[in-house]
Amino acid sequence: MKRLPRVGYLMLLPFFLAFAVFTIYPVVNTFTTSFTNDSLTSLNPAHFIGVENYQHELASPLFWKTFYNTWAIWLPNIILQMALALFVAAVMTNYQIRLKGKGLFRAVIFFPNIVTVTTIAILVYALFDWQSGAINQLLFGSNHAKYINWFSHGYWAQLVISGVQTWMWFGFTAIMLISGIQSMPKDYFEAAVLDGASDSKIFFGIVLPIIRPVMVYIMITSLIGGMNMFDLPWVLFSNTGGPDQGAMTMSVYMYSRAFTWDQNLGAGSAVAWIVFAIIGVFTLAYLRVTYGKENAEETMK
Amino acid sequence: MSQTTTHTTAHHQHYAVPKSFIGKRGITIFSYGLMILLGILCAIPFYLMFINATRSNNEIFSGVSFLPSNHLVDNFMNLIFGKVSAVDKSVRGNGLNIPQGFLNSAVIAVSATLLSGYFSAMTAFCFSLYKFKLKKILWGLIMVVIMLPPTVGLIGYFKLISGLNMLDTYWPLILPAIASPFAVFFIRQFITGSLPISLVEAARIDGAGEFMIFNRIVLPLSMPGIATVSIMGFLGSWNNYLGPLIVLDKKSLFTLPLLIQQLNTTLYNRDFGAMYMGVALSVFPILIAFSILSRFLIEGISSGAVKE
Amino acid sequence: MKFHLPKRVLTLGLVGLWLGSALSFGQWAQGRTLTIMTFSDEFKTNGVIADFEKLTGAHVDLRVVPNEQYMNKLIPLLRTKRDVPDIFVGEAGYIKEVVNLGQSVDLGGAPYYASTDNQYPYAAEMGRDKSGVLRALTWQTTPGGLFFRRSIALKVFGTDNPVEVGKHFSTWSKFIASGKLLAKHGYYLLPEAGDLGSVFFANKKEPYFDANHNWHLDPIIKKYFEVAKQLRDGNMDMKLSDWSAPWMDQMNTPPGKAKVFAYLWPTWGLFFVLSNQKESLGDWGICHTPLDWYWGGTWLNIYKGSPNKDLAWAFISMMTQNEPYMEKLALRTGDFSSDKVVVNTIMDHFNNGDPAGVLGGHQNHYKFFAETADKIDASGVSSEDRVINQVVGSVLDDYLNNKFPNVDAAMKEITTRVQQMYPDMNY
Repeated sequence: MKRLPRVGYLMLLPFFLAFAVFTIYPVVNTFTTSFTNDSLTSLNPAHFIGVENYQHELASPLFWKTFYNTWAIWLPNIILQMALALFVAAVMTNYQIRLKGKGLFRAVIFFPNIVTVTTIAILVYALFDWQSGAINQLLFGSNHAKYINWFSHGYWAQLVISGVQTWMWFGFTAIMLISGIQSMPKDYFEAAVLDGASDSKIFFGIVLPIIRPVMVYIMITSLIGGMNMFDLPWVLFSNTGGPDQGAMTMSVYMYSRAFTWDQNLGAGSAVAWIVFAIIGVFTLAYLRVTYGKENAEETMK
Repeated sequence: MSQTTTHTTAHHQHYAVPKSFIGKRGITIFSYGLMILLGILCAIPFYLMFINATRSNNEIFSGVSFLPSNHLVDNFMNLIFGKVSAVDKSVRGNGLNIPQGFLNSAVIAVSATLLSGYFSAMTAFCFSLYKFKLKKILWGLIMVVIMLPPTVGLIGYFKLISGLNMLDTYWPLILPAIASPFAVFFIRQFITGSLPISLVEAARIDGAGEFMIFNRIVLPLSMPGIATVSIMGFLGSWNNYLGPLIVLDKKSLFTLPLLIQQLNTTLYNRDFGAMYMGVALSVFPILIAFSILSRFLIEGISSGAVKE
Repeated sequence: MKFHLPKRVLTLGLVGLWLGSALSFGQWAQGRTLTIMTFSDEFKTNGVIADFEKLTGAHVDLRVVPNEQYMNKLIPLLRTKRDVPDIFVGEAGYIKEVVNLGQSVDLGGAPYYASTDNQYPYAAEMGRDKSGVLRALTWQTTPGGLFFRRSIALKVFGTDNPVEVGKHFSTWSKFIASGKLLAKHGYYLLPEAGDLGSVFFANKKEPYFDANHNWHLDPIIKKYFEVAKQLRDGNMDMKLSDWSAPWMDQMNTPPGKAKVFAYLWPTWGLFFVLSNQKESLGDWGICHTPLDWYWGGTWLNIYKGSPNKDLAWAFISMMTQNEPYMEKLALRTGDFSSDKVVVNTIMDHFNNGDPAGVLGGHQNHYKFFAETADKIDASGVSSEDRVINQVVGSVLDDYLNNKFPNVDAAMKEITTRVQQMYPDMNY
């Protein structure tokens, strides 16, 4: 790899300048705050209390409950989302299936990503209302006895949020996979066909490795987004977490701790860094599983 | 420079997935069916949204309908010119200047997207093709920031913005886009995954400077990746609610989400008809633009952007 | 007192002088701008801003922030002391939080000496901070009642006279018994059992946390859970979640088709919500619930650091001290005033019913609300109400969905959750 020439540093400058001001500064602010008892309501200066916030949060059963909730929302979502996206990408890039209206379809699966989460919340309430919502009517027809009260149990609420996330993101994931598959140089494929490789061999031997960077990107960003999930649970249930506190994600907990409940900015900041550590651990673990030990560290560098 | 790039291009590369995966007739029908279902699932809420924009508040409360009603004009008038005053029936009050909001949102989202696309690509280019001092640390920093919960910097961000005297301006909503760690991460993945190094090396032999190589070769070649990540950036900026809420106070500067939220300020006299109308008006142009552009965009991912 | 008296006289004199100059010179604040940050546009729609601008010549800059976001917008402004509006407000759910921030001027002291003598006690009480200093004032009160369907009452109770109907709901046991009777006839007493929250929350006798930070779960909350559970188990509520489309829709059914007997609304529910239900106009009556209660309201604060305190006070005194103006405003909007004198003066204007014709039988809503407003006691409201009431509501939902073996387990769950939210308090 070539050394970066002097002009290269100038090219990096705008990014890191903006980065330092608009990102690093607030983040460092968060870090230092996490060791203080800074509070939103007291307008007095905060003072240093060491790692007390961290100790308290790690011992909090509610925090670990939100950890579970976050996974219960993210895992089903990523599995279903990836499956749907792979399916769509496979169909859309397969020359043997000449589907009509591909262009329209590509646009349509992206639609859910275009609206704001507040709008989606209005639609979720309308569609999942258990007495008059379209979802129960579609699932059970006029059999009212079977109607599910979607906001009566934690697991239903988690499922609804998970489903909405899948709905919102599978299109984008599919489009990224398609772009990954289509970036594959033609010769690879032709050579493989000439060698008489079987279809599954081509898929697992060529296609998957080619789209692996894209898959890694999707998995990692989805993991990060999933662990930081805030908007939808918040607009649906605010700081209560909904039924059984099941929709209280780590980020909702963090935000509530810092801005809503006892408005403890110190504790909220500590939670933010704990969430960050959790994401870091799982990201590294994921990279190790997919790339092996050495390469995992390489990707992070 | 462009003639050297042509050998990697192909017009139709629809073959990457093997035959046995999908291909038989039954599977084709199944694929059709599932794709149509997915398409409907994605489109239906929008359809309902547009239908609701034609219905009155009470009609919306009475349940879901697939047929339009006749309150389109009322909702439009209530949104743009405001509701008829209960005190004096000839007066309408508090209309929302939707075209202005549209313009504001567009100025912010377009500037942010362009800045983010260009500078993220430039940064990703340096990270993927060169080694330099502090590279590991700087990249680690980017990765760390990506993982931090975004809501947590809120107070720090506000302190900063007011310290820089940038409240009630668009700068705090545009400038941070220069540093978009997500975009850098994605474009770096894209460049590492699919940029032919040989082209860069050929250009170096031709004596091109690095900045030139970036602008003339890497930037166009990375367009598919940049475009993909830019759509997300654009939508993120277009739909951003919390940022403008904290930064903007003057109504004339309000973006669309802030304007539409004005219809939502009091629970008890919320006008859902006007609200759906507002949402529909803000989404409609995006839907159209996206439907047209996505075609070029995704076609471009396979070939277009590389050809010049 | 001795020392304060001369100062007070002096200031009164100054205020008199200032008022005099205002009167004689007319628009004394020409060219100045008053910034008000609130959560609704009602000051514009009810003409208050236009009146104020005409009176003083000042320009009013109204910033509207959604209610749910209001505190999140206000607190950073106060912390950084930049762009703080001259007047900020608090809704009933968080006014205590706002006044306890200590960033609003003392309106009871010099040079304002705001009078709350004619105000309903709870309206004035809500504007006081922890130590009793008056920091916010309001122009309206929001007592509530049981808005029932006259058509159903006639069928089930044989009368649609609000006083007679009220007798069936005067105690909680009668309330439940009447619910059972309604259920027998195929009607639901309420759209949702949890809607009773506003009744019970307003009747908390003590704040959730006392001065020594000790947690206190008022027994009224347990009563709330018991009544709601009885309603739910006896099939007396329709299980419509509040503010949802079907919940709203049931309000708009014509007399013969209504399934829900009653909705719990305060004053503003009449003007803002029921008046829009065209199909059910005239089918409503109001009667008392076993407890007197209120829901909502807006209180005005002046920012301590404001350079326009005089202008801000001119606005607030126009809204809350100037009785002739308050009369004019109440008549114009139908809003229920916070001032007893105003209420008594204009009460007879509504002898033919409310302007929108929501209530049947010429029921005078002003008379009804006046009976309630005097009895409301807000001493149990505290800073944490907004957040903790929400949690109580959330636990109630779980309780109604049979997540807890008994009501005591549900009470314990409230304490557990609150403890997780406010770990530094004593439990």
